[in-house]
Amino acid sequence: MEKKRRHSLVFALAAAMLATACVYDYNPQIDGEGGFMIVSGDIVLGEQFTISLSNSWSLVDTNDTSYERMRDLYSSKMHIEDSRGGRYESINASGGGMTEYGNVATFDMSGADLSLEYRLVIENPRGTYASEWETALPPGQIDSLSYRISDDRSTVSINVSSHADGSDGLYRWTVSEDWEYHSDFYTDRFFIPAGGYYYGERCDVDMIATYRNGDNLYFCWSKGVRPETMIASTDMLSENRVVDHQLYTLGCYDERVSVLYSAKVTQARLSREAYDYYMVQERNSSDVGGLFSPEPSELRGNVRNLDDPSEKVLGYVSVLQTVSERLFIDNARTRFYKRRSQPIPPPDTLAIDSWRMAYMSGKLPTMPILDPFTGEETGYFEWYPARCVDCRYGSGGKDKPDFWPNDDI
Amino acid sequence: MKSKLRVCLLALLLATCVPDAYAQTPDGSFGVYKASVDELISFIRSEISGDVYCVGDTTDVKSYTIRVPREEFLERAFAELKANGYAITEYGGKWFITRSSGLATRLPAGYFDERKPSAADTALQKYLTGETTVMTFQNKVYEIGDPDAARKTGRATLTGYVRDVSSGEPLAGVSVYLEDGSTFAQTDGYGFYKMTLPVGAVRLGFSGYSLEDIKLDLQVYGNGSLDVLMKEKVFSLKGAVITSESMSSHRTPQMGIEKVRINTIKAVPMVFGETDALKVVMTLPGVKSVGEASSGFNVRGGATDQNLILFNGGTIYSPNHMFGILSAFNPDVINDVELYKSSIPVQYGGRISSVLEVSSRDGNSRKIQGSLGLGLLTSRLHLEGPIVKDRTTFILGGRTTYSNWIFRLLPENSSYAGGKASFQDVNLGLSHKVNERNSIHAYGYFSRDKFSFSNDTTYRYRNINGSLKWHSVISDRLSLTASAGYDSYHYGIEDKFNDHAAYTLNTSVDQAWAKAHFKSSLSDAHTLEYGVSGTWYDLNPGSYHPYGELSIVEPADLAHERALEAAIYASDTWRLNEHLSLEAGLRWSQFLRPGESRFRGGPEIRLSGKYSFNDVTSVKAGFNTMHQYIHRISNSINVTPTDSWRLTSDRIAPQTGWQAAAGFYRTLFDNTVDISLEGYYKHVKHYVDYKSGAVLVMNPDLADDLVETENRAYGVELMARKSVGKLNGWVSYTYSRSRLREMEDRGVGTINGGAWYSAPHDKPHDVKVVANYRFTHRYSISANLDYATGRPVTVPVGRYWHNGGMKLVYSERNGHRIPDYFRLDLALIIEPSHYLRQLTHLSFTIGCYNVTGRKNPYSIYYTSDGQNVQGHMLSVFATQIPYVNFNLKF
Repeated sequence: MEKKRRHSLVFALAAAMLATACVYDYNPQIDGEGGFMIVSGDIVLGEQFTISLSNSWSLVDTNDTSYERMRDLYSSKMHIEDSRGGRYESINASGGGMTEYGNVATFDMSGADLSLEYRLVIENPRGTYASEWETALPPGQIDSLSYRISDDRSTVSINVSSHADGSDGLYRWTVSEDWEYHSDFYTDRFFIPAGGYYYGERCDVDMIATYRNGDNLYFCWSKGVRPETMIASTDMLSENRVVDHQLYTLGCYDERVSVLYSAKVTQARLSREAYDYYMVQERNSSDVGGLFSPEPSELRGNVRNLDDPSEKVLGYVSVLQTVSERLFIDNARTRFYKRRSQPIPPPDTLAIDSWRMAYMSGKLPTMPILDPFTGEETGYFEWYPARCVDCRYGSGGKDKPDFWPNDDI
Repeated sequence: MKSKLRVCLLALLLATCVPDAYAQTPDGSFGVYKASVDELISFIRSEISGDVYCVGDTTDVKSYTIRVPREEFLERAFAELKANGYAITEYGGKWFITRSSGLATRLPAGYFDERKPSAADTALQKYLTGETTVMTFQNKVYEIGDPDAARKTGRATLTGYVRDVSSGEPLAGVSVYLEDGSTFAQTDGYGFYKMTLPVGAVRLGFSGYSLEDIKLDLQVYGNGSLDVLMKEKVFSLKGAVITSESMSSHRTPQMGIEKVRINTIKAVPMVFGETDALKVVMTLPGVKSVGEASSGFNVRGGATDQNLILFNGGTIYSPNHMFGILSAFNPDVINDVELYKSSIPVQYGGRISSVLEVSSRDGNSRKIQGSLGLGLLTSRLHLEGPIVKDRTTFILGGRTTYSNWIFRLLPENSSYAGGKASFQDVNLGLSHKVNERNSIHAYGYFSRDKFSFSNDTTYRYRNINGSLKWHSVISDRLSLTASAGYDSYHYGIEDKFNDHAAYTLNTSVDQAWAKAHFKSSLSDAHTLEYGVSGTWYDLNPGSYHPYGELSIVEPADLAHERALEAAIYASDTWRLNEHLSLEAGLRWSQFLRPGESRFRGGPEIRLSGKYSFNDVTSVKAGFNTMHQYIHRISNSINVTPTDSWRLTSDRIAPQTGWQAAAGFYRTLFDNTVDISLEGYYKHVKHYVDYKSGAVLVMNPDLADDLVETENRAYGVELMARKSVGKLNGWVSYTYSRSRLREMEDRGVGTINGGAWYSAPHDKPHDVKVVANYRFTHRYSISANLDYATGRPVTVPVGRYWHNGGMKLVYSERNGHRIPDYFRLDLALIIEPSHYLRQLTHLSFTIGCYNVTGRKNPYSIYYTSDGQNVQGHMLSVFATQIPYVNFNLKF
């Protein structure tokens, strides 16, 4: 009658272990609230800058803002005040201009007194809105910009080292980027349909001609603004200095690093309130959903409706001074970029009677087919879809920035 | 049984049954004259054609004289023998003559069970298992107290220990009751019980979960003690009716108590087949969690830090491994878990919602045993046995893991991918029986976790607990449990993402505690419990130091928080009559921080009452108030090892709360099914939440970033539980709500505009089924079903374009719900052998977690890649997880 204890030599086997967890796309129908006023932009002393007003949208619909909201938004007038009673009007004729996203005003504060407090004032039929008074902190110094390729060569990080006098070490960086890229196939030829022009000369028949002066549709330039919120604090450090602080990373398949990449890093120092605002904004927008992620929390900026303080207005208008530096990443040196194998359909090898048809169906010629024996052109060309030949089908165009350091055309 | 047969045969061989004093007298009468018992039996043997077996009794000096007609001789002889305390049984022409009282002093009471003989049982089996009426030791009368000093009336106190018959381990939670239902007691963690009985003849029942019931006849003369050995139910036989768990709700005025034993815990299928006590607690009604892979749990709408988790008396601050996949309790060493969710015993305090008591077993006091286990995630080793037989025992268990492989299976956004995790834990228990009235127990626990989500950041935490307990029966009416211990929880991060800003961050909670708890039976109507306890806290809210040569991090240490929490308490359980019992308790807790003169603390009330209409129907009501002086500060809904703990201070008020509850209990179907309906309303004030944008780490002015909220929770819990029979388990349905509101209107920025909002674990509808069906002794299936309303989450209400990126607008907190949760787990358990004397038993379990493969969401969230906003749903265990476990018992 002995009791057997259930102590066990346990062999546990995974009969068939499958991947256990997953992240799925999920877009529930959430009744959103559109129409909060969003103020985007900062008062940058000593420079020309823009401040834009827009409405928030619900998640599902971009056109759910009420007529009254839109009218208020578009009839808003913006100006900047300083603590001595000075008033700075927008240099737009109307005090604001319409854009895709709302109402944009451009200001020029080139001669502004750095010691004063400033604020943004917005007037519209719903009331007068103003940001909190702030002074600008000196932006500090960018000591260096650098990039570092990860050990597995999958990402490259863009890093900044900076310092500033004083103890307030709350930095924010914004980055405007420019990059050069090229199309899949280089060619010095292009198709001119009958009736088209070749450097000013009219062509009577369909022809494939050679570019002059190195002209091409191979090299293009594109630009953008980094969407990341890039902030850092030196609160926990012994010096008011950040060293090799990572701003953002780019993947090895990113077109930006395919030829030559340039980042203009603009540094400013934030007030404590502004820093906290960006911290929460970043947490709400990127650092959510994981098992240990903090809960998203409500965010309010420093703009209030003076007539109705309970109205929710988003956005933080800081008063800043900035300093900028530029960094280049040249793929010829780094050999970092990896071309993603894209499905490129096989070329059509076509003679002149088929060119127009191919052209009309969105294809472009590349190099001529040469006779394998004589090395002379056969009159046949390989035609590829235009997106593989003309770089302008990509993110950018042929507008080469003034500062671009290479000779590509 | 065999041993008894041997005794009998040996006696037969040794008996000098020489028939020298018999005759057939001339008048035709027949008999013996002044024969000894042996002579009489020899005579009987000659008169009976079949064999006669007897147990000689050298102490029997009585002489027998029988003179009757020959045809009446046997009847008369047996009557004489019976009159002198012998028992006579006839089977298949064989006769067995035994003297029960001679054996009874040597063998434990209740060694034999009381099951009803089945038709298939032969009479021999009945005899050999001692089931015939004359042989059942349960039918023996045990004398309590000194017969010479017997009182004629009044009550006497009976104390004793209940132990397992084979291992000698104390059995906790065994119900001891008078058959008429007038008196009831339960054994404590040391197997000790104490009750008052009326003087005279009484019938006392003992029943415990998975133990065979015992009924003992007692003749009570005065105060005395009775140790009882009970044995585990053997499933091969038609089971004894186990009534303890089902009947106990009718006996105690306390309510909202759930107890789960390790064998139940082991039968519940769990993810990866890892037995997990905390996950089983989450299958009980009124207990919720925010999702899978979460060891934090919420009791009756309370927060996760409002549960006091005690392991052998020591507080465990982080009761999980691998961020919640496994609990920190090694199933090899734990005995049971007990959850108090409503009537919190007066000896416990300091947390608002519940007390979860996890107790480990004492080691086997008879022989060395051990086990080695290999699981999907962990491997285990455990040893136990006597150091001094029947006096000093030890139990030692350890676990470690090799679970890194699992992280490669997890999705990137789960915060697991690319991670590494390892843990170890060690349990040690020593117990020493000083004498019948005193025992000493020592416990040690150590656990260590280390994990990282990337190469740059490593998280570590560890628990250390050590405690010493002295259990003493001071007198028949008074017992004392004195204990003291030290608990330590340390947590650290090493972050070397940027060499120049690399740091280590450490936080810790250390506490030393001592308790003295007295239990006294004033009379049969009053049981008094009283005691004192004190805890000294030493919290390190944060130490931030540079890591590596290059780091320019400024070393910083927040001031330690120290405080003493002291309490004095008393309670009385008053049985007014067999229908009505009341329990009233008062606990005075006091919280003192050195250097602060402010008075914090106050009385806590514990009231409960029970009215039983009859043996199977009762109603109860309870009310209690609680204080809590230590708070977990977290901005994540899950319990994470990175949460920090803070003490009440000038700026952080103690949490206070009250709960009122009422319940109806009925036992149905011949005491096999227990149904209960409990309702509660609960209100908590000063629960700590944080402001938007709060900085919770290394913040010397943390109180500025915190807000106080109030919590109101209410619900009803309906449960049917069957502990007996082929099918056992429980089914429960809960409707409950838990809502929070900021206590102070701070104007703009007040959470949810100052309106009530759902707590993260507010899941109104909840259905749980835990069932085990035993087809035969060898085959059983277990099922675990869990349905709950999806939990509330905060979702964006809008999006906007700001400084070059698409951002999200959040407004109402917890305003949306994720899809409902549903999961079914199944396991088939095959026990290959039921031959008890076999040395090893190989059994195996084939199971599947999440049989339907439902992709239960853990969270839904939105990300913005700068241009677009995309909703995502994270499902932690999104598919079936099959497993096979082999168990070798020895």
